[in-house]
Amino acid sequence: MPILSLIVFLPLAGALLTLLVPKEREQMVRGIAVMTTALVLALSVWLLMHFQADAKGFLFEEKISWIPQINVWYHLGIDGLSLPLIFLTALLSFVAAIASASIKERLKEYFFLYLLLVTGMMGTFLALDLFLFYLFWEIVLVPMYFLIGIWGGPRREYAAIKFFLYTLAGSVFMLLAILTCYFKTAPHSFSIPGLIEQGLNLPHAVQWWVFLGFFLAFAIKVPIFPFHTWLPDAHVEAPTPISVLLAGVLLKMGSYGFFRISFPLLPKVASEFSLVLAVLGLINIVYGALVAMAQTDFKKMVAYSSVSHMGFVLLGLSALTLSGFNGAMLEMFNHGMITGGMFLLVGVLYDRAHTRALSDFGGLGAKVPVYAGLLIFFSMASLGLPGLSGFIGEFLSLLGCFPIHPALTAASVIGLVLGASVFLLMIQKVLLGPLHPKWAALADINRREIFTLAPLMLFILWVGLWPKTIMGWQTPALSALVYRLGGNLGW
Amino acid sequence: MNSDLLTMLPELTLAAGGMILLVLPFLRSGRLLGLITLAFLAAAFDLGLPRALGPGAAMPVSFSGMLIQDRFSDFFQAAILAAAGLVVLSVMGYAREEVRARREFYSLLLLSTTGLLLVVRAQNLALLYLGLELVSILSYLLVGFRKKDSLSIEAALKYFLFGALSTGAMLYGISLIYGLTGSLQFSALAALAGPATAAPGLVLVTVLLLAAGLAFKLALVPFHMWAPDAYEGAPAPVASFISLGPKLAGFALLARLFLVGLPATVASWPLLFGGIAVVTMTLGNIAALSQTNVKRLLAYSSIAHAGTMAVGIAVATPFGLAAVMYYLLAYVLMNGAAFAGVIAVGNASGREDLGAFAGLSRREPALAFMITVAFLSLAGIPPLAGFFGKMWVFGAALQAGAVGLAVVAALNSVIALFYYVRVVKTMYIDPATTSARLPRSRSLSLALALCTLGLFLLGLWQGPWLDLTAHSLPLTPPAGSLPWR
Repeated sequence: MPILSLIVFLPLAGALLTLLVPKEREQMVRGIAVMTTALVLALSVWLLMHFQADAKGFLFEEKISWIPQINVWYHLGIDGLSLPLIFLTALLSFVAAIASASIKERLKEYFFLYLLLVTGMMGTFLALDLFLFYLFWEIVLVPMYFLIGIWGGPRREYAAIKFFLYTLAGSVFMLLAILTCYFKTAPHSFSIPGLIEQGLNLPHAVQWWVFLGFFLAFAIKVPIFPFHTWLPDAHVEAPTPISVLLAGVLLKMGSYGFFRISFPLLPKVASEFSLVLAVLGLINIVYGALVAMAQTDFKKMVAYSSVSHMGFVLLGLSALTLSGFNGAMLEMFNHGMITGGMFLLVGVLYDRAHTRALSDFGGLGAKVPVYAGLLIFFSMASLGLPGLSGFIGEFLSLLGCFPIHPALTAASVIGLVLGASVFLLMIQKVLLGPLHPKWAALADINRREIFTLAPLMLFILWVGLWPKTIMGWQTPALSALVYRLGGNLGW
Repeated sequence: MNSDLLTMLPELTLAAGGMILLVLPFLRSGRLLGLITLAFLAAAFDLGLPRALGPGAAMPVSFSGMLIQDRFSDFFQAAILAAAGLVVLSVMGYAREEVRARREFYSLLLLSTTGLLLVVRAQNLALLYLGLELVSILSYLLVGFRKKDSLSIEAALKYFLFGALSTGAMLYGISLIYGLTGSLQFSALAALAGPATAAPGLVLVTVLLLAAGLAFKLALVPFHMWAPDAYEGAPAPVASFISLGPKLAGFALLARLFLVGLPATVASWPLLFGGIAVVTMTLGNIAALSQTNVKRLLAYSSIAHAGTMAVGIAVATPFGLAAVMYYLLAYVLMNGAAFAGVIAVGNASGREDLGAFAGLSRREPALAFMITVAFLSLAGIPPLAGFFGKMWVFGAALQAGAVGLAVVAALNSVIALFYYVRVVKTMYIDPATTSARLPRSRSLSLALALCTLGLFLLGLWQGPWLDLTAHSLPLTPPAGSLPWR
């Protein structure tokens, strides 16, 4: 059974199905979306259960000749790098589809675009041919533009076009880099495993340019300072479920690109770039946290905290050690769960209060206790409380990077303190203090919303207390990568 | 002599069709006229098929070497006929009766198409000039077809004056070529590079004049200034025609005259076209950013696309030409669809500005979707064919080492996205000012549906089309120069 193709194209089938449903049958449209994402989630759980971490190469590979004239193959495959991300995408898609209950108008178009987006995201993580990878990478842009632009907040048009233009600018440079790889190899090939095996015999300067071309695309997606300015606008203006996907999955596409493409194809440049990446990681961590602290809009605060978290991913990437890579991948997975949950919680509050200004709230701890408890849980996870998954990712990144860049790592630890301040300040503003009379009738979080948060909490606890499971999936693939990069497997 | 005429059957059919339509009395139905025109186009296509698909023509050169019939000309003739068919479908659905139901319109269209077919087969500069003038003069008439509309007349006059100047310059260049080489055949152009040319300055002037005429037809900077006014003033189907036909013929000519005819050392024409390409893309895209009239926006967009295709010519490699050929196929579909969309919206509102598109996705979801596909393809978003056209042009530039050209072209596609997406945004995000449904037109729907389907197929099942372009190159490319051969 071509399970990977099913995972990629079931959402597309669901999207086309929603087009056939008459406009008035709203429940049916919602039902199709939820069922499709549930099915994809079930398939990805099946994948988890049948995944053999120590198998060499890629599992469940599907390779069909697509355009033989240019040696393009429809090549899908999964390994330890993509498995956690596939599961993350499936889970968040399912959860956000349920949370899309807050979307009230133009449902058919919404779910059509939503499911198209899921196809694009899944395809990006599974594609093993650069042509196919680029196709899916770009396919994510169009639905995201519409989802932000139609169902978003007051400045949605600006945020949507900014997102589109920014990401496209990076992508075209990635296209040039991909084409350079294609033309400078003999025989011309787009295949990622093929290019890794062949090795790119390019002059050093050309290798740098190719790396930078990929770097620009991934840097804008991650996002790396100073290419992060699209993120606050897009996250704030997007509707809640889309913010979840944006933060939870799209940002990971950027860092996944480093792992899958940049680093294996250009190992020499990767090791030379390590210091730059570490510095950028430090800037992300500290700058992101500081700016987050200064925010008055709840959602914008969470958005900037995402920038800060991705800094830890960069730090781990720059280390070129096994711990560093493990930390980076874990941080990607955990951040998806945690920040996905945070955006859902922001959405819960916004649906009831119709404001996101932190100063408007206060004293909600007593009024909405269940919500308060969940908010505290996710905030603690986000600031890296040991026992919850956020700590594992951040700790491993710092551990892996310390032997390589001690000073930068030491400076980044400040980020942990700053991150804690961000969230503790937020909790104080929202949950503690006197209750404003206008919230006297605030309803607590309901069962549907708890249902969307429960799986995320489960994984936050699981990875936080027993990270061995997830590390067991990803370590063999990461070890192979570290070995290829000439990094240190011992650290 | 007889056999010479036989090789011209498609062109003769269309010319006959044009004449017949002029004299047929009492035909007032746009639909009937359109169907007759389509029949003639189909006949021309069918008559060309045995030549194209058969073994290499027994007599490829005819009329004492003035006309050639090779796979390259077959490719472009098929594309031109398809583009003309698209335009006929569009005009059959055009609301304005003073255009749609006039037999003169269809006649001019067929005769203009004949000129285009001749141009791609020409091997002689005099015949080339004849064909180009046929196309140009008929285009001026088509642009000014709405005689009572002052905007239309003004556009036609601007087009005519500009065209007269440019083709006059080209004629002067042709006369210089005769003076320098003693022959008007394309094959004589190679002599311009020979050591016998003691006047490099004169050769440079000749090349510039020749390029001027072609740049006018293709709307490349600095000979593009007629285009925005002509597209805006002309009836939308005419704008569609002049954006498709002359581009196809022009690029075929560029290939024959420069890529095949002139060695690259003559007046360093690749450098010249590289510069033209950069300026054209940039100016076209930047000017389009502030347009509110969709036809004018599409005019600047066509200018920018011509600039991008000029990159493929400027690199002077077989791959570049093959990339341009594929790009042109995609361009016919996406531009044709874009104009069909403009016609559909204009039919209901009488307006051709952005505001007319507001909220179209609520009123006509299918139409809005097809227009979106066309505009996203123009912007270069995968998996639509427009993206792959751009990708191969970038690839050709990179393979030839022209990294700067590739980077500029890539950046331009980012700039271009803004104004294409603005149309899409207006349809989907802006609220509708009216909830009236648009009048349905079967031929417009057919045209749009064919183009939408075609854009997906051309992109996702590229293989056969890439093979076709490799197969249709004017000269056999050296092994390995094309990624798909």
